[in-house]
Amino acid sequence: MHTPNKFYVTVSLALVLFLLGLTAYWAYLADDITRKFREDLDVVVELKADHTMEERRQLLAYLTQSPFNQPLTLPKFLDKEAALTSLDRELASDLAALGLNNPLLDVVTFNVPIDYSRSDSLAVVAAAVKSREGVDDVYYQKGFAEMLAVNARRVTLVVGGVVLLLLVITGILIHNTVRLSLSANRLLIKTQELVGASWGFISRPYLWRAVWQGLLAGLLAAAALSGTWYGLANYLPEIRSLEDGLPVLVICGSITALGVLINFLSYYIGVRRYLRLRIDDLY
Amino acid sequence: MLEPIVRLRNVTVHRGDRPVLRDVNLDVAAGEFVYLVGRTGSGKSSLLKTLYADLPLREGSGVVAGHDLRKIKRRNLPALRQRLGIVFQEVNLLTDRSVAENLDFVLRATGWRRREERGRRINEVLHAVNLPAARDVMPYALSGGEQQRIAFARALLNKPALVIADEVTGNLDHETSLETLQLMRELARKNNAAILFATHDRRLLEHYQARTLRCKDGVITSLENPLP
Ligand SMILES: Nc1ncnc2c1ncn2[C@@H]1O[C@H](COP(=O)(O)OP(=O)(O)OP(=O)(O)O)[C@@H](O)[C@H]1O
Ligand SMILES: [Mg+2]
Repeated sequence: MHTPNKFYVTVSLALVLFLLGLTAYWAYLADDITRKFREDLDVVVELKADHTMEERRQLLAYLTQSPFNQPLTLPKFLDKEAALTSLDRELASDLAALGLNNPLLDVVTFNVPIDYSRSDSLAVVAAAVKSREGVDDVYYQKGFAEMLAVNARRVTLVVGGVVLLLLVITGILIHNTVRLSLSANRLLIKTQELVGASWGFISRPYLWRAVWQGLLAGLLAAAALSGTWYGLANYLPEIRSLEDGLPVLVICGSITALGVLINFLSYYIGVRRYLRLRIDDLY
Repeated sequence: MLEPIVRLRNVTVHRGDRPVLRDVNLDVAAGEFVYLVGRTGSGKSSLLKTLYADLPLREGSGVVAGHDLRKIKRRNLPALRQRLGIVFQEVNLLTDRSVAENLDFVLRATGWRRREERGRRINEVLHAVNLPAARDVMPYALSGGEQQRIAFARALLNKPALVIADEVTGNLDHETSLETLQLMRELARKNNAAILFATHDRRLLEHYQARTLRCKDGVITSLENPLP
């Protein structure tokens, strides 16, 4: 017996699971992007105009083996001409044409490990580096990655909260549908009880239906999520790699499992409550 | 002497907060046939519901088929009900399936795992109620008397110690009522099942005499001479 009501319930569950999957994927992407930003965060060490070769060599050696340096990367020395060129090619040639001095200083740049990329850690790193011989000043982009991360997290929390609320509402909806369908079958259930069927036996067909419906809802949601991701990948080619497909796969698996779980629990609680409340009416 | 199938002592039967029957003392022996008479609203159904634990026993003590009605827990209800055969005026066969499927459903619900054994038992009870050809018939294609016999066959499936029959002949004409009653008595005797037979129909009592209890004015009395 498939009433339209049950069909709508399955579709609502699928929809909510899809939104949940989307939120999870957004959280993953945001985390991934801020991580990339943090990994690429350059700390710029300006050397004094009169620093010696020895001071420069010692600074590079110090940075290479210090914990502030991101493993597998090396600090880079950039003399002021190269720095100017890398900054702005035209400006460099204009300055040369005008016979003006290069206003820049020689610099050393390095990346910090992710753990050191928060503002407070960076301030400590900067102070330590600044106290080295031959160092004039230390710069970094203050708090950009952090701001990004905080905002992304805020969005995730708000959207996630709304989706969880929807999930609860869907659970209640399922629960009510179950009780409706049980009371439509109350004669059958009463008969089962009078001939000595256990509650387990009476609930079994409902719980099986719960598993199948939950699976259906989960698979619908997973299909919609994969489709969305595929569509998105056409606009953002950089996420169209295997590593980016894997999280989507994991999320799809999780929302399918969640669909089965939520549907099963809602059915289980619905059936038990129906059977129990009826007994309480009598006793 | 054998343990009685039903033993009630100083029982008060409640409906909601209102007592319907007071000071009920009742013994039914194995294989015994007992009529239960009384006017509408006198509490016959309430007493029977108490026996199959559809109404809780709050006052007095009661044992049915070895189950203490005061102490019975929800999870033990199936065990009690499997020792009983319950038949009503409203036949309540499942209308969406054939006779055999109705019976098979009960056997599956009560733990009969093997299909061949279920099939064999279904044939046995259908033969017992003289409806072997009804196997694949839908309930609505049977007459009222035939439906009631199928309901009785269903009650016999698990070889009950006690059959509880609540106005089972209420919808039948006199002839059919007599036939049904005769069949039930015969089969109960063969199976050594006791029967508590609640009825309005005094004419039945004339044809088949047996111990008779009457619900009246909130108490149960034994009628020494049930015939008027
Ligand atoms: N579900 C119920 N809730 C509360 N009171 C009830 C309920 N069913 C019956 N009663 C009351 O309990 C009393 C006994 O009813 P019961 O059904 O046991 O009588 P009965 O002898 O079986 O009558 P009948 O011959 O009409 O079947 C009646 O006064 C009735 O009003
Ligand atoms: Mg009654």
